[in-house]
Amino acid sequence: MQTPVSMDIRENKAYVEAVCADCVDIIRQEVHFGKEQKTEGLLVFVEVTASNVLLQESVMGRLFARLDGLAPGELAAVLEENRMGVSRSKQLATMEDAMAGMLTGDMVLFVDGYDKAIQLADKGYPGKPVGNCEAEKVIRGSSEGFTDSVKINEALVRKRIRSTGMKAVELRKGIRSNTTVAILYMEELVDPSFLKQLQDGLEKYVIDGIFDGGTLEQLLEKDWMSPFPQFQSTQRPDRTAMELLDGRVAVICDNSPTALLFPAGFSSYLRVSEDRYNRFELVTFERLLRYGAMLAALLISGLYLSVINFHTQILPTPLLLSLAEARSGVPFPALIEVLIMEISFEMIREAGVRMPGPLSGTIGIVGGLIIGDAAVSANLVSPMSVIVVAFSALSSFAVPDEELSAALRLVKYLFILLGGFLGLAGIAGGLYLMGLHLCGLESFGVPYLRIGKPKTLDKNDRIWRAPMRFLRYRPYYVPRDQAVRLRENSGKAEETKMNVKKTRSVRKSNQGGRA
Amino acid sequence: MRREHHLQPYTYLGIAEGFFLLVTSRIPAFCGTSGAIGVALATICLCLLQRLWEDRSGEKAENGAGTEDASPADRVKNGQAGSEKNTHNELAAGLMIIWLLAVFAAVLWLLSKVTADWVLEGMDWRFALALYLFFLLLGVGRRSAVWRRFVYISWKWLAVIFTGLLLMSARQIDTSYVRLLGQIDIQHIAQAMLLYLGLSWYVVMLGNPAGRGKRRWPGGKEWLYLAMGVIQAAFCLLLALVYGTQGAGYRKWPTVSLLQGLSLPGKFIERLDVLWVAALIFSGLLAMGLILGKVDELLGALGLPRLSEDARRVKDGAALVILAVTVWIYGYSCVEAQNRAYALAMCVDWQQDGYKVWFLETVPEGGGGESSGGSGGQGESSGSKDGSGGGQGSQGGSGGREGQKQSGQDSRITSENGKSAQDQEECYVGTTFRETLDEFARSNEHYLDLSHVKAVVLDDSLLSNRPVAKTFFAELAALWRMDENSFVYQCENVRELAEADLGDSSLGDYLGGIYENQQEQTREPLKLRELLTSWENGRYDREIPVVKLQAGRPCLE
Repeated sequence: MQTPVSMDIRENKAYVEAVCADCVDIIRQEVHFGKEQKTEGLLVFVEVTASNVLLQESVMGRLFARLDGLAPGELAAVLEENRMGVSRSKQLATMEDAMAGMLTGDMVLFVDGYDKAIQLADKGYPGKPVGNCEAEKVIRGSSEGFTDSVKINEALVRKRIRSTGMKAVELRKGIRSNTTVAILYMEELVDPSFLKQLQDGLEKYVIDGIFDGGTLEQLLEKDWMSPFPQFQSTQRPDRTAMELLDGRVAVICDNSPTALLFPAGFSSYLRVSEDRYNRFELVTFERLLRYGAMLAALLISGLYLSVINFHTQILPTPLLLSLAEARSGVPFPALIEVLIMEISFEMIREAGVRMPGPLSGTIGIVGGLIIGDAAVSANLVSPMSVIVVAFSALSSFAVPDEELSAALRLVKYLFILLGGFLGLAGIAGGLYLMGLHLCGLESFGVPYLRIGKPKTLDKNDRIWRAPMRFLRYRPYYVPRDQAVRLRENSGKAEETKMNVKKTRSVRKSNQGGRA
Repeated sequence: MRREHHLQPYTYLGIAEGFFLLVTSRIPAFCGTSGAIGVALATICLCLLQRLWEDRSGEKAENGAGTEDASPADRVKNGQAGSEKNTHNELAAGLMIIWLLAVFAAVLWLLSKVTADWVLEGMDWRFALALYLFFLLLGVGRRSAVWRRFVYISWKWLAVIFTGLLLMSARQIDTSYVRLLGQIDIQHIAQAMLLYLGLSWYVVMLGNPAGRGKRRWPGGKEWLYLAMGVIQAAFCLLLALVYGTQGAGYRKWPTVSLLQGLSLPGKFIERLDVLWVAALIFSGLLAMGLILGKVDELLGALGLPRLSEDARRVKDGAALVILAVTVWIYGYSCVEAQNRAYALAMCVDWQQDGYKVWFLETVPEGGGGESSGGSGGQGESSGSKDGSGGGQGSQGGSGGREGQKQSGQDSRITSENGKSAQDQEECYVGTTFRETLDEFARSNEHYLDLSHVKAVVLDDSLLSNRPVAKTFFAELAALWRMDENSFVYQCENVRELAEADLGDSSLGDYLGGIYENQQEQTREPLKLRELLTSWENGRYDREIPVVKLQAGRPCLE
């Protein structure tokens, strides 16, 4: 049952006072304007979201100036027809909507004798300005990163895709937090089933508060037991725009600088936005490095154990002897030694992440160098295991996606145990289980490990990235009539326009067919 | 609409591959040109039979369902189309399930045996079997689409690995065996053909009982059979070219040991055979998983109950129990690198009372600690699992030797050339080579690792006694750990050589260096593998380089 905005300002005041009792940060400011200042009004806003209302330069100041001298009848007409000259205003019919509008960071104005509340945008909640993207640094390309404001984030993407084909839908999630969640997609390129699944997923749960996309991500994942992420996250607007053009959907949560992208495949976690900016030879080489790093992060510790414990014949004799000599006198079995080192590294990492900036470097030096060196000198661990664990850690940092890197770090322990207890037989078994698990994962109906068949059009952008002129096709989940991403320009502008028109009409007919 | 990946052809491929590598290569009929012809004919028969059974009229209807690469919207649509009545043959499905489970048991048994023999030293094959059951149980109950994806992604990598290993193995071809390719035996061709076809009978005879519509068997897969046939025929020829037609019979798993003697340039990896076995294990698990996946699909086609959510939990729990029990019994029973004695050279003499063997081993400095987990010394050197008894050191060994020598004094000979007791090389005697290894295990705190032997020096007395030498070589061929890339030498008195003082050098490095560290190769080295295969094929006249002691230092004649 919703409460309509009353014509009588006193009723509205009473409602606001009741709802906002003990909310000192919500300002209820009585104002007077109109002819002889006889018309009573009430301005409601969160304290820090509005600029000083008395200043003439502010929206409200100018509004009051515009309303001065108007008779009550005229006042209602001006408000009704938005003749105040305010670019962003909204008329709200119920008190609940008015309160929700106020809580988004706007001001709400109630006017005596007028049965609607007026939502007016002003300064809004405080937030960080657009800054550099620290989480996904690149050498080439924009350094802009998302901020905490969903509106600014939407604008940053829109700045890169200046087309009305990019749709931005907003909805509220969290019955208490009322968090704005924006869904961005390219109307012509997206598979409608993605949006349907997203909608179903969002409707499936009622939650009290959402403060980051990570909460939504966990609720929307189909295979929630898997350590592998099924959404890709990015803090880069250019990456988001790029992925939208590949038919993917972006979900941006207010108060979070991270956009969730889906559907996600395993290979997408090993790509960076620079992959489109750099030359293909370099990109292919870097991708090979990343795949190698991924395998090293996952397997190197387990392989070391299997070789040192079971398969000594693999190593050249001098290397084996030096390994064995380094292990001599170490009191722990190799398996325990590697586990101690790996867990120590995780502790150093965790401490380094949580510590204040200047101290995190110190943690690395104290933990990594001093304790590591002392442990080797005291013969608690062998130098080789320090090298192996350090190499494994280094490899995990070379994986560009932090969530995938974290998943690999977790799964690594399985391979450590399998390699330590069962040698290469265990590693082979572990790869079998992991492969099977990854093949069973799906992100919004798209297989995680996609089968690349000869008929797949986008085969030029996998580990090997073809020269830009050959990257002609979008991923296979994009509707067929929109599969072409790049084509040679015949020089006829009209033809290009017609093609767009034609594809739109095809799209509409396709949608009709599906329905 | 895009092509569907059918599970069945890949299931067949996995089985055929596993069987061929593990079983058929042990049958003499498969070694040589006759085997290759038999495999080729069987492959052609298979392709022809498939053509016969194939019903192309149903192809379109079936290709839509289960499409992997269609857009999600298309797949929803196809899913509706796939709900048509399944006209499978229940008898065929039942027969196929029985056949598949029998094949599953056979592959599991073979893989466990290979693992116990080749990968995990000292592990009983039943433990290996339990471990594989753990992996397989965890994989059971997946949708057919998952298996299709997995096999489609994996088989290409496995094909690359197997083809690559095949090509690498080709480096070991002994040109003197090329003449053997001319030997063709009709009986062997028939045997190979019937056996190979026998592995595939169910595929062609039963078709695909889980398929929808009238279709018996997916078309267009002949190239898969042909590719597999070519690889397997190539293995038949390779076995003959590397081992000779007789040599493969001396190896327990000839295709597995094919890479044993291969060395890479720069020797950054000493032995490749274990990596090959690891690929084989993955491939075997995949084949068995596919069999279970296919059985699940067939059960679904028959309308029999499949795994419920509760049953899956029970299954996963059972898998974990199997793992826990196996690990609890088997434990952490590897022998870590620092607890091994690495024989770099091996000198073998033969007298009337048996073999005398000097393992010129080196022990990591500062070593001598107990084997982690309490047991060690397993593997080919000993039937017992306990290798930590004795306490006899080696070159670098230290105190406690004299006291403990009493226990083994009947079987050891200590040289009397004036060196101190601690510097003297120990000789182990036994009526068979195996006994000398057992003796070492019984009286040493370290596990004898023969995988890094650089030089094998044979006494003239051993080589002059052909039956004894033949038995000795057969025993060496059975030791998979033994490095078959080691150089072989002949010596008039190996005892002198074994006890020679070479300063900081070991005899293995010293003798190997004579060949390896020369700019111009003036002498042709002889590798152990070459000698073994020569003797196995009845060529006893292979010339072995002679090494002599001159002024206390070994030199080649």
